[in-house]
Amino acid sequence: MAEEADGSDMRQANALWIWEGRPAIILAVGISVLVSAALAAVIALLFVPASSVDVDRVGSNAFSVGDSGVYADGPVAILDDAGQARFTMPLSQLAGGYEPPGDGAAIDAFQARKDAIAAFLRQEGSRLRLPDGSTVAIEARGGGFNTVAPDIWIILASGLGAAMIGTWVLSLRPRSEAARALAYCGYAYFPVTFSVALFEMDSPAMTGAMFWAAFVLNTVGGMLIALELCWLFARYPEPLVPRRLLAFIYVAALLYTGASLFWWREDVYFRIAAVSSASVPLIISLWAAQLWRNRTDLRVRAAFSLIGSSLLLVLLVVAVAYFVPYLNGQPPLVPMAVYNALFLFFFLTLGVAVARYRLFDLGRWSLRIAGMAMVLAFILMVDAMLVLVFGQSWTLSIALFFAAMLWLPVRHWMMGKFERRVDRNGLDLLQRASLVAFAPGATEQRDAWTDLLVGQFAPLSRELVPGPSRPPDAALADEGRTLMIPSPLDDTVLALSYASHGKRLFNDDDVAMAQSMIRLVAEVVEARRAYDRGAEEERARIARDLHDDVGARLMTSLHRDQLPAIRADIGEAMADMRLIIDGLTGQSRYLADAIADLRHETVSRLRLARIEAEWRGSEEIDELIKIDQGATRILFSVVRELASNAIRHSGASRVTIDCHASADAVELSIGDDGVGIAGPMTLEAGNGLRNIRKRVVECGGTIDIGAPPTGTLITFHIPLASRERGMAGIAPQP
Amino acid sequence: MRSERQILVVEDILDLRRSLVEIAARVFGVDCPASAGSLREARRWIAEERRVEQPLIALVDLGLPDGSGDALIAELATDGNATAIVTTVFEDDGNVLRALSAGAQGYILKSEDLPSIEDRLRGLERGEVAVSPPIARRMLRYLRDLPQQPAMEIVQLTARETDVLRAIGRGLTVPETAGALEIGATTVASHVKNIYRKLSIASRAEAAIEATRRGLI
Repeated sequence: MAEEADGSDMRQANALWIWEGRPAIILAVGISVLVSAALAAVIALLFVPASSVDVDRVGSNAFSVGDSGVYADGPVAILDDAGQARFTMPLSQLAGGYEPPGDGAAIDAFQARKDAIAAFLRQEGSRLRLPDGSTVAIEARGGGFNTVAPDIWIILASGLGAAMIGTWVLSLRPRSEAARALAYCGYAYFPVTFSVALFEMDSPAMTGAMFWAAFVLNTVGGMLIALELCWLFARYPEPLVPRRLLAFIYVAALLYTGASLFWWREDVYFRIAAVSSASVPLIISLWAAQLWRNRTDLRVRAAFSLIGSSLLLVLLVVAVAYFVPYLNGQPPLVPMAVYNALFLFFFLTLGVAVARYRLFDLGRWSLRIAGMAMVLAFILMVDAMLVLVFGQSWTLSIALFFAAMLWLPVRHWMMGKFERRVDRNGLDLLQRASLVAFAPGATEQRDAWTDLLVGQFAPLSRELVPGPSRPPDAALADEGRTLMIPSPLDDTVLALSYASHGKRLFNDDDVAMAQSMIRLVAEVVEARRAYDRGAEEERARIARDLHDDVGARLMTSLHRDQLPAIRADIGEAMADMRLIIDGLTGQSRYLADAIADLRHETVSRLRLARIEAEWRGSEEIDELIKIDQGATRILFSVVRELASNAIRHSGASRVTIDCHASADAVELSIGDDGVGIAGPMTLEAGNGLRNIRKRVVECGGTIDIGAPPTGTLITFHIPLASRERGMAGIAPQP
Repeated sequence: MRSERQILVVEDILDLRRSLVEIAARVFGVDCPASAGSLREARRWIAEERRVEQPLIALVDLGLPDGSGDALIAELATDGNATAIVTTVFEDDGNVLRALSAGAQGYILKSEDLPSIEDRLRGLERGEVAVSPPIARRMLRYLRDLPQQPAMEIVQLTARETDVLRAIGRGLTVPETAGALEIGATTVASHVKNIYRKLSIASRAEAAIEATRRGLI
């Protein structure tokens, strides 16, 4: 937009006096200069002499005079110590306001008279004779903190604030024409506030030169502000008026102002006020033209409705609270400081708009500001009306009451209408996140994710941005026109543009919402992946078990000739299958129960084979210890294999089993009185032992195959997986 | 006198049925045991061939083509002179307990080889009982957790019966249990048979209580 358009040719000019791209330096230099200027202004204000009697307009024809009371307008006189009237004037002239009268000669006479009064008041013993003939002592005071009212500081502070905002925006966008216009506007406003402060302090003790200086500052500053605002809206965001033409107007207006002040010196106030007043409709027209030109651009629309509403606020308040009472000969409804503060606020919105800093978030503020402006105007109008009708001072509360009666329902309705958005409750969101996570395939997942986002934000367009430069979080782009949402599923980013079918910009709430959606979906997806991984591991385990145990046994029996041996194989294969089926339920069981079943099975088998069996040491197992399926399977298959060996190969007549189980491990030894393994061992028995050793070692246990003088003694130790480690603790390593 | 007994083998797998018939003939000393492949055939045999004055031993499979053997076992429990024995593949599942509750007085495992099955049947014939630790634990839990009602007093386990079930549930064989409790193996067997009986009564009583509660009776 404007920035791009003027970027190339402005760069040259800016580089001469602005450190390009170094906002901190610009800011630091600008602020220190401003603070110095402010200090100078403060010191100057502290040295301005004030009079000991303060006259203020308090009604259409009423003036308060210090502590003496309220008087209607009438002739007053300043008396010397002998009681002689030295200067006479209407009381209203002491109440401030400076309008240089008539032509140059009149101005000079006016100045000279001010100087004479100021000089006279520096003498001791002067008195002021009031319209009723009473007198009050009056003298010039030397200034200082006591003579400067708090309003003055507020006025000055708003000037300083505006200049600082201008500097801030300029530091952010040193190449932007709009930022420069804004900054100059702020710099022009600062001396204006100084002059306003002087007028507010207005006292007979101030010299004519001081009044004149304040007047010059005020008119030149005001003209500059009007010109800079015209320039701003003429060029931002679209260049509507050629820069040459603007420069011409600029110079002409300044020449005109200068000539009015120093050359013609006739009806100065009205000459300049006419031009300044003409600038107001011009500024508003330019603003409206910009708004119209950029009506399809949501960002500009947001910015300009914000600017417009704050401008409306300022103008309405100034019109209702200042000019209307002024025309009626009334004192302003609110103190001067309030106007200055309001202007500062307008300046702030302008700065925000130009800096485009979080503009999208401020869009909805424009409605609130406009609403506030209208309420304020309503209050003041009702109040002014009531004052005119009843002439009472308590009417403000009635006006407030009416305004509140009207405002609250209107505000409720407006907020409801303009801030309506799709707010999904948590359960609905979780449901939709689950739909994404549990969609069958990657494509379906991506589609569901897109559907979820589109349903939430209703964008006009969406675009899938692939690529490695994936941001970690959702983010606004292009001043809120676009919301970039990284996918929780893959490396893509979905760029949604123009929220709510193009009715609004994206804002921080949308970012937060997108962020929580990403997190939610990512978490559910992760949960699903964990589940899938678990199921996969489990399937792999079952496959392995089927292959290693059942498959191996059936394979062996395929090559056997003896029917009883085949039957034994099949029986064992069925028992293995039973263990696998038990494992499918996936639940851990009590260690004591598992050992009891193992004991029963083993002893029964050995007895059926006419081998005397003794099982010792398993009576005292803690009833509450659990053992998971993996460990159960290893335990059973090892003991079964050893019992089979004893039955088939050892020729033993007696088997003794010692079993010690605790929460940490099971230690079991099987001893027999058979031929032992030191002697010739069948191939099959050797394979079986190797298989057992492999399994025990894989689960982190140890096995010791001993050869006592007679028979065999095999001792093994299986660690029990802790509850935390679960299946992983005994899962086979690849 | 043995020849006065009737034998019925209910099994749908033909080969196994033949083997069981052969084994039953040897063990029980009966020339020609009857056999059936389904509930329907078994019921027809009971209707046509059953002579109540002769004791009946029925080997009943649970998974039959036209329903569960449980139903047949429950019908035989009303016979008064019949002993039902369940044949099942796995001994530690709920089927055995259901069959025992329905009135079966023992079970044999089809997953064992034929000599073992014959051994088991001979053991039953001698008055031994086969009861595995899981079934002992289940029975103990079931009978202990029955609702405390006057109607259930008759099925309360005695202290000795509880000891027997506990020992078997811990993995002790019947002789080991007998040794541990310092009683005879036959005493253990009679305790177990009593427990079977109580189990069957309890499950029927419970069904009746449940039916009353629901207003079916």
